[in-house]
Amino acid sequence: MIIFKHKIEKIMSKTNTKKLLIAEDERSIAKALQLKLSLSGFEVDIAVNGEEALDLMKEKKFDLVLLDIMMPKMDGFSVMEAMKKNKNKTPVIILSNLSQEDDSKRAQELGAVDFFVKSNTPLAEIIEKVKKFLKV
Amino acid sequence: MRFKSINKKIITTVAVVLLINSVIIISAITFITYDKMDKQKTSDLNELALEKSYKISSYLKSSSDLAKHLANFPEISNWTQNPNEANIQEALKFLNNFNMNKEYAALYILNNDGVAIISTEPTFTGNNYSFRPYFKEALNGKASTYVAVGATSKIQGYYFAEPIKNASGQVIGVLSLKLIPDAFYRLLDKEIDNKDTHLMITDRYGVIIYSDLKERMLSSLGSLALSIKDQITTEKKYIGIDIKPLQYQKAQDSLNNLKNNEVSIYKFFDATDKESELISILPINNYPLFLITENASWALSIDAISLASWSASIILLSQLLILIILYFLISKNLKPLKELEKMAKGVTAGDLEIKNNIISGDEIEELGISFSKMTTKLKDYYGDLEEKVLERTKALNEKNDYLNNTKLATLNILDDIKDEKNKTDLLAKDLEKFKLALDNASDLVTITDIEGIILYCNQSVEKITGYSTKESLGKKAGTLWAQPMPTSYYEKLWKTIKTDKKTFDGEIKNKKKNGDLYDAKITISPVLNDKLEIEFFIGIERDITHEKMVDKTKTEFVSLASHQLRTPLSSINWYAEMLLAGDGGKLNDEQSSFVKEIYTGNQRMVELVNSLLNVSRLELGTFAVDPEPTDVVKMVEDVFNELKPGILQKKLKTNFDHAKDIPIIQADPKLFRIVFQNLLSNAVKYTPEAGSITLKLTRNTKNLLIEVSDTGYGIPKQDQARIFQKLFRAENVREKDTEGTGLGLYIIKSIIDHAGGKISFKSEENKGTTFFLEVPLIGMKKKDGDKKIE
Repeated sequence: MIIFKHKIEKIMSKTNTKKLLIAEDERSIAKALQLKLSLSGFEVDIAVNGEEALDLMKEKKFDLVLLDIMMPKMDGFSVMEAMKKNKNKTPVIILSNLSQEDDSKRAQELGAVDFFVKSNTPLAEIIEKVKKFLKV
Repeated sequence: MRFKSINKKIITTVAVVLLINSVIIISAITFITYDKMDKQKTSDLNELALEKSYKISSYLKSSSDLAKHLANFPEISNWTQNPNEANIQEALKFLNNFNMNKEYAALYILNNDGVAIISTEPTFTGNNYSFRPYFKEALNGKASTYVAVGATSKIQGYYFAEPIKNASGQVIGVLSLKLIPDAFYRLLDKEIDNKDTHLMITDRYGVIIYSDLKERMLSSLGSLALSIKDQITTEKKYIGIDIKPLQYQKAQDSLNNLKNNEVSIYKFFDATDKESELISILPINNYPLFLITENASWALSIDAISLASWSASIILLSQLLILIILYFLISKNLKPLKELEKMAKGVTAGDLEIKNNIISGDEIEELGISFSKMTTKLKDYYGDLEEKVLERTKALNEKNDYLNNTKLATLNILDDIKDEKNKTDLLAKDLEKFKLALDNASDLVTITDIEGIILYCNQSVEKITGYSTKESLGKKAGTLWAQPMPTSYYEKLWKTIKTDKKTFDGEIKNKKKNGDLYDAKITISPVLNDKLEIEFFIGIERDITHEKMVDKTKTEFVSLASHQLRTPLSSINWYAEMLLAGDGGKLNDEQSSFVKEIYTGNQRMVELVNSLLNVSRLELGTFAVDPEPTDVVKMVEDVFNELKPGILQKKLKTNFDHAKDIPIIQADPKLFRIVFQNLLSNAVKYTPEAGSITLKLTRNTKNLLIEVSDTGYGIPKQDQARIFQKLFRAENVREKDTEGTGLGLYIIKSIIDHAGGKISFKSEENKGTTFFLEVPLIGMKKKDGDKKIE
């Protein structure tokens, strides 16, 4: 892990880093994402539920939010509704394991820019999509 | 014969109208023509008068000029002053030179007393002519012209007189010429070129001195005043002649007021000829004479009348023609009516074999057709009647026979009656059973009138809606339990059953009496009568609240379970991926191959979860179908590409044959892709190394034909019947590999069934399998649903 930290710091010092927020209650998933995204040069914060995500967004301005739907305390949809209320226009990509038409439709209606089913999508593909979206 | 009289009536009416019309037209033409011609004639007469007057005055001028010329001759003056014998002889010689043509009766010289001292006509010599006005005027120094009957000669003459003056200008005598008018009159006679035109010349008193009608000579235009008669006598003009007046009084009266060279025109009615005449009067230039031209206007009337009669005959002729044409047209058009009459008469006479012969293409033909139909029906009816009568008679006869066989007949009839009674009883019992069944059916059955008012409902109404049968009858379902849906839903419902007259099927949310909502599946059908008018609606309603709840719970469970399964699967997936990517430090070959095993194992697990999810959705029937134009060829190529790693690994040969005319079809690409993925991945999975896989794509008129064959393990005969069953796997493949889920073919069949297609296969163990699929070219129907197949 020490090697990674070193690597990450090295990359971060070089670039004008984009700030990402991961809202994900499953620790292992969040960590995998954070690790991969940090390696790609992003500054990554993790919120373990919807409330925390909203709090963090109040403190800091993010370039992109990777949002899970099923989370304790406050689910992803509620987060997006709250963001709308707060006029927070940070773009959101949904990463969920729900795959019903209803869910993807609702996410789209709330303004999500993309929707991925985690189990059906390789991590590398998600990282690529994020990079592409942020034009890195 | 009524039609003939209609015919006549029409013709008579038209004829009368045409006649009146022609009378009006002819009168108008006559009047206009007459008026126009009248004007023309007047102006013609005016012109004629001026022309003749000019000719006459030119003729007379030569004589007055001669008189003037001679009077001014100095020798004449000398001879007049000294009328001795020698001078007289000299003068006569001289004067005779001017009368070579004997135009003049005399050229003579009067002295101041009016005595003829020198005259070429010896009888004149010595006579006193002082009573003549021409002498008086000339003596006063004026040239004069005068017309009278000669006092000596008794011949009419035109006198031209000029004063003779001496050197000092004193009048010493008068030179006179007496013109014999014969030549002049002959000239005038020639001027009359039209027998309806007449010329007259009158003297200053209106006495006619010339007329081409000789009987008018020396008559006056009208009756003369006494003073004028006296004057004429004094002047000794027409000695011994009784001047008779003609009927032109108006002209006579106007003489004194006429201006030189101005034509006045009068119209007269000639009592003798019984015709009207036009008369023009014109003073002849400087002479005491009037020219009168007369034009009998009957000619002009004749012109007008002839024109009118020509036009009248043309009009009458053309109207006659119209009448004839009309007659034929009416006859032709009335012919079908006559036919009809004939038909009616025929029927009255009992002839029912009448066929319609009318082909007029109008209402009459229709009438004819209806008529012949009526007669046919009548005939049928008569036929029936006769038949019935025959039948009855026969039956009666038969009954008589029966009566003869009393006992048997009675028994038979009794039997019959018994049978009938039994049948009726059975029917009544059936109906009762039927009603009982309906009353106690668990579904709500309602019968309403066309306005939706409930006429019947069974007992389920209370159980389902909470309203009792009593409460429901006579009311509308819409005011009781059917309220909570959006208006558009009810509009669609009514349109389907009332306007389109079709059955409506649907799910609906209704409200119970206590206010609770419930879900119902409804079917409402219109019941139509013979005329296809709606008599009733029959509605069947089933409360599906419970089923819906179970469905919902099931769906929620499946999606939650799959979500919970997917979360750890995602973790395993991603971490294995990171390890393989070297994110946790470089792995040696052995480590790498171990992680790969974890990765593929995990992938299979993900697929299994997805398949289970799909199966649960297919079974619930709640998946969505979203057809869009789909290129099947491209899709197959893509799927082959996806499967390339497996194909290469097993060194399989693949063929993709497709016809050129494969159309783009309406299909849900996700569903279609699942079909190809499963078919081809099965082929790859169950074909040994170096085998081959072939996909053929062709079409016929209705279907897209898909054929997937492999040289694989095949399906054992005993398993073939169960191959499309859920979770079933054939024995041979279960032994060979453990990867399959037993869901692939089940999913394919579900999808193909849904698309209205067919799937079948042919297989032999260890030789291979071929699947045959047929999918309609019209494609899949759209279906809304909240689940997607993955």
